[in-house]
Amino acid sequence: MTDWIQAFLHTPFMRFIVVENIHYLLPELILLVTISIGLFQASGRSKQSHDDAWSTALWGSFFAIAVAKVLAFHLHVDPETLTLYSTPVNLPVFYDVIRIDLLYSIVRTFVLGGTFLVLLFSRAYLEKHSSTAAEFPMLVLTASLGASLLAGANDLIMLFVALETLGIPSFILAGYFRNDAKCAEAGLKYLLYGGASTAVILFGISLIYGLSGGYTQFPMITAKLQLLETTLSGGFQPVLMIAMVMLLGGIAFKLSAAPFHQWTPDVYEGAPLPVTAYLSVVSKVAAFALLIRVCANFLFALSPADAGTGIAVLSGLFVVLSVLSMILGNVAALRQNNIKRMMAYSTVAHVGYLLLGFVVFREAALASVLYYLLAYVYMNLGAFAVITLISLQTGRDDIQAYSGLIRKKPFYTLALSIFLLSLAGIPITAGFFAKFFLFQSVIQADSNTLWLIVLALLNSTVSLYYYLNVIRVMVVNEPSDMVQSLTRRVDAPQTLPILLSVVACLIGTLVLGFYADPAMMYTRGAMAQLNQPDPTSIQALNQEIHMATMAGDSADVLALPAVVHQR
Amino acid sequence: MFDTAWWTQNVALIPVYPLLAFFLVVFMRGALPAIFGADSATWKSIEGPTKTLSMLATVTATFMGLLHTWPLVMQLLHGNLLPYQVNEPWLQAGQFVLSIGYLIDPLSVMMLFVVTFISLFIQIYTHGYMGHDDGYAKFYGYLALFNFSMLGLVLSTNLFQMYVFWELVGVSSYLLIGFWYTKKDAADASIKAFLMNRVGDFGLLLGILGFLYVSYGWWQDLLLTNPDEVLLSFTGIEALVTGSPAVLAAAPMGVIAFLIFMGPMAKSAQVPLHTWLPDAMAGPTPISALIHAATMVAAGIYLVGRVYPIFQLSPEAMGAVAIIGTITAVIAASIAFVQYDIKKALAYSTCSQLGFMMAAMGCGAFAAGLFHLFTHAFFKAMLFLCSGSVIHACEDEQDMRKMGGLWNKLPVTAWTYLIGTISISGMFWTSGFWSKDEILVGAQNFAMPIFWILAVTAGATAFYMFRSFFMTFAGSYRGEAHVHKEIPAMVLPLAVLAVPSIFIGFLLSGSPLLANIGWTFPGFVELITPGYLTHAAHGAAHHGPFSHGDIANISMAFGFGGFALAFMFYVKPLNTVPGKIKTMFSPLFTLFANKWYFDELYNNFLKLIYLPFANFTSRFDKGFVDGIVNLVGGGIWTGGGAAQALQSGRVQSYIATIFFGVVVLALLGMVWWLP
Amino acid sequence: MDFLTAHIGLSHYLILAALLFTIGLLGVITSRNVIRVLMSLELMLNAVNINFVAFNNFLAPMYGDHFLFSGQAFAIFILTVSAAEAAVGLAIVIALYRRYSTVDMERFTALNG
Repeated sequence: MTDWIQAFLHTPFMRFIVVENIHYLLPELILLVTISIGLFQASGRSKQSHDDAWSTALWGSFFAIAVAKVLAFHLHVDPETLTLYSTPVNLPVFYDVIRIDLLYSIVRTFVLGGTFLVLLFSRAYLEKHSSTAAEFPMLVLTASLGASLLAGANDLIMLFVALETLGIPSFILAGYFRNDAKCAEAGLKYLLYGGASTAVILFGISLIYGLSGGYTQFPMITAKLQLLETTLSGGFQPVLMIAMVMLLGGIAFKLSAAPFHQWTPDVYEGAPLPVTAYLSVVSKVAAFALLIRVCANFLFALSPADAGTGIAVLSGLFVVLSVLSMILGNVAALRQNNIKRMMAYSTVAHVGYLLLGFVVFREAALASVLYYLLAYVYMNLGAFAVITLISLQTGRDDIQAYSGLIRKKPFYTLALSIFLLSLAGIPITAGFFAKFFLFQSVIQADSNTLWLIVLALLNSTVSLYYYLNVIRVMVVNEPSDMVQSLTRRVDAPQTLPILLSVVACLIGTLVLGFYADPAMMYTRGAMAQLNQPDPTSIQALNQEIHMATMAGDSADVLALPAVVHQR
Repeated sequence: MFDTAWWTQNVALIPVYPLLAFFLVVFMRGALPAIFGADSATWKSIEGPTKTLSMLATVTATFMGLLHTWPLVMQLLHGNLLPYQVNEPWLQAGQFVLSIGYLIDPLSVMMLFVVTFISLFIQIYTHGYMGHDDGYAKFYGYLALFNFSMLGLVLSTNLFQMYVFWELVGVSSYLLIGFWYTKKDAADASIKAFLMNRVGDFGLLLGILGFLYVSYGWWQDLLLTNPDEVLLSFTGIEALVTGSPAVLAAAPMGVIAFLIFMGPMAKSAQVPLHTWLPDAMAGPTPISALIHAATMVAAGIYLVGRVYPIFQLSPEAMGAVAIIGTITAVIAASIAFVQYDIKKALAYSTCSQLGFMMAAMGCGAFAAGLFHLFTHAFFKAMLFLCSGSVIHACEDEQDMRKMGGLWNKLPVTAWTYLIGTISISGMFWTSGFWSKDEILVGAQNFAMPIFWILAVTAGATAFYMFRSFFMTFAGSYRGEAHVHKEIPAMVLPLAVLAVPSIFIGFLLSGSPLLANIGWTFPGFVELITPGYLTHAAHGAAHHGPFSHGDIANISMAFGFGGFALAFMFYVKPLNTVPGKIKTMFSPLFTLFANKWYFDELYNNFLKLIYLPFANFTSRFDKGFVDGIVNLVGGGIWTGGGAAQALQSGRVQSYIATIFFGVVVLALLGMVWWLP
Repeated sequence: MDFLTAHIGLSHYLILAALLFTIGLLGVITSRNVIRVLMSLELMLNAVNINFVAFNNFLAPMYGDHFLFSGQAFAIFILTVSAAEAAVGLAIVIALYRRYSTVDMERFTALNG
């Protein structure tokens, strides 16, 4: 038996996989296979085939999470000392196009988890809108494939391809109900805005490519650009500045950071609810991972540092983005009647808080950003799951439709209240610790940011108004006729998945609100690893290994990854 | 696997059992009807079994807790219990780490035993008492939640964790007092209990923060040198006070200790924060027995015991504790004289006994206070359960004037009630006798006036307890309701609890007589007294005028006096003598009957001082502060309109914004980049 | 007008690309016809392509015994992706045209505020 396994592992194919670390991409491969099978099944005309495709999608994404989790454990346990986080893997894949590290592993889990939850609560909603076709989950999974790869992108081409693999399915999803005027309009707006910002980001990338002298891998570009700075007198290249800001602007579009946020409310309002949830969580998480990587490689690696604090002067850009996002998001959310639109502005505001972590760009602050994202996945998806359920039963998205909901749906009212309070940052919820850790770490890194933190706190106060308003409408107002006509009984087979995702998010929100420490350890580990000097030696070594393998060297190639690991 | 160390190392399981039971009950009674639909046939068919399962799960969880505690108790008795604690970081903010964990030492093992043992029998009793109540399963869920919180409190390693569980037991208590929330008095009582406790908890929190503030530097050093220690741990507090008291020399330790004491003052119903406890009797009787007699109200004593070193630093604080305890004992006993509601009489008696315990703590008789806590838990829980049995039998009648003559009709209840009465009166070598004796010994070492007051109050205890016994069981039946028979599920716990009520005090008294019956274990005082106290306790022993034997005789004499008075008043010429006494001491009687006007005091304070002040601030708030707030709010609201106007709906203008955004950011970046 | 007469070098390509990008951007912002907007978008992307190809042509680094052609590869990726984007865009435009019978950008402003 063992001989057989040995023989299998020594086949050229397996050698290639192991040497190139491709097995770390197993979750993505599972997604790919799921999409292929699902599309094949969905090509049938009967309802049964679409049902099958739906279950394929659900099982596939679930399986992908499971494998991602297993790999995540593999990534940070040191087999010798059995301690966590001591020697996390930092491995290149496909000539360092993707970097497998803790950041990637964490964000991949968020992305896949978010995808699974969205799929759970989207089916009933789609069926309600008489759309039973199984293209929807396939598009979602494709977008998630892009999002997941985006988190690991370590190469300009990979960045672009992943960004578009996430983007193009998102455009289709935003306009998924093409007979609905608002929905189609949302799709068009998202496509045009997304296309324009893709062009901007690409122009920036092309300039970076040129300035670095024709390289596309991040570490190589960083090294080359640093060389360029030292050789030039004064070390300043206006073109480089423009290129980096264009890159930043393109990512800020994905993040919906003001002033690149304007697509957000319109698209969120017009898009189908599950898509809104997806865009507000999954693509944000992936974009933040990308931003961390890009900042570490370009913006902050190249920018001169402030003499006093040692913080890169370009962090000022994030001050601008953050302040604008916080203020615009919160203030505009105040007067919204449509809950989807309100959530859109709330997202913008949260992105504003999150960008505070980039103002100081320190290990602790970025770990808090990751933690905030984890909390955000739970609380925002939970809120959207409840909103989806209410929309299913009332068919409306305006806040007035929630009048007196507590009489008919006490559990969902309670759940939505908890999610909204968590978003507002009220204690014993995940959102509180997220804000607490973030603000605390930012101010610890640089006490000059005090005014920013005060501003953020004032903004949280403003946000309390519109979050509590929803709770007030649900609890205090007299039930409207429509709410009166709701039954208390739950329509089990249809809404059970929604209930499941609500409960999962509720548990996440509350557990993180009680016991934040393990998750925080995990994110700290990821950031500590990112902070270490880039192991370019690994890259070089890996290419040597590759050459050796291609040349048919008879050395035991299975042992080689371990060598890389030790380096 | 189950070797000696296993029980210690896995003691965290003890609170986990009831927590799991709680989740199970919530799942079965909350989630299942939601999933199947509350009117569906499926739910209807499984509703009955889920009730039984809720009960079984809760009782089993408690039983497992008791089983788990038993080896620890044995280790304690055999003197091979190793103090043990484990901590996990819970909340980390830079250097500031708050932890949760579990701590095993004689004190916590003692409390674990009390809580699990009494809970178990009260939960069995509940099956009989609440059998026909609609909220049967919910009640078991709450019981499990309470057990979890209480056990978590007992196992706390540090003040912070204890504060968390302290609040949790407060919530469970609130839920259980208001269990019959449709009854107005129950709902009011639950709110009153919650508010009163908030007052105390606020003081406690201030005290904890104050203590942390004055000693923070020392803690940081400790955590650096000893990675096993955590912030605010009880072992650390002990080390701080006994090892380097100079750190705290300049701090106002009296104020801090008194602030901390405010928590126990509310939780253990000490004057003047005691008025919630009698009202809390509006809850179901098992709750009165478990939470408001045996366990939760004792948590205040337990907390004082835990942070005893802090109190010892300040003679003023110790004195205040002793005096407040004594006053509570007296006032509550005097009110108990004139109560006709059987549960209220017992509630005031609890209050009075808690006063005894607190007075003992204040007098420096650490072990005596906890010993009384220990014995009192058994007989007071039993007395309450007896009262529940009586109330149940008399069809929810609680007025003792409508009882009487129940001796033959409820034999087990009557016998156990008599045992409880004797025990609480401190007579005939029952449990209460031994622990009350210890308190009196401690009191005479501290101050003679307190000794005499407590001794007289012990006589008063005998009086009001026998009064309630005679009114309920002696004479002839005065009520209209048909008296039911006793229910087995209710009688069994009574019988079981009667055993420790009689014997446990003697077994743990450390008396030399014990050797005659082959009992070789050390006494309670020796077991529980921590190392830092042993020396002091020896030095302080026996400097009062009376020997141990004298004190036993004195308390016994007072007890007999109380019994004789009660016999005269309430058995022989019922209703004539009390009438005469009433007229003779009518002002005093009115004072007692009106509970020393504490409620009126609070009401008048609220009406005459607090509300006018609140009105004034409210006007100031509306006129001035709100004006400013409205101005700001209006500004933000208008800003919202402006922000909406930016969002024109034209995607092309949005794209133009991208372009301008990039240009502006690039310009800003260049400005910053070039110095 | 030195650069007009000089030998055509990298900067000529870059200036062309920048101009093309700007023209495309202006087209995206100002056109009222959705199809024109989509075409202008393609123009912007093609400007980027020119950049990449030009850079690759003039600056390609050596790797071992051959040049790296990642810029050319990038251009091909961009072409592919922009084709996909255009396909999606046209599909959405058709859906909207069916509903409104027009492709005027001014009509698609129902979502605002």
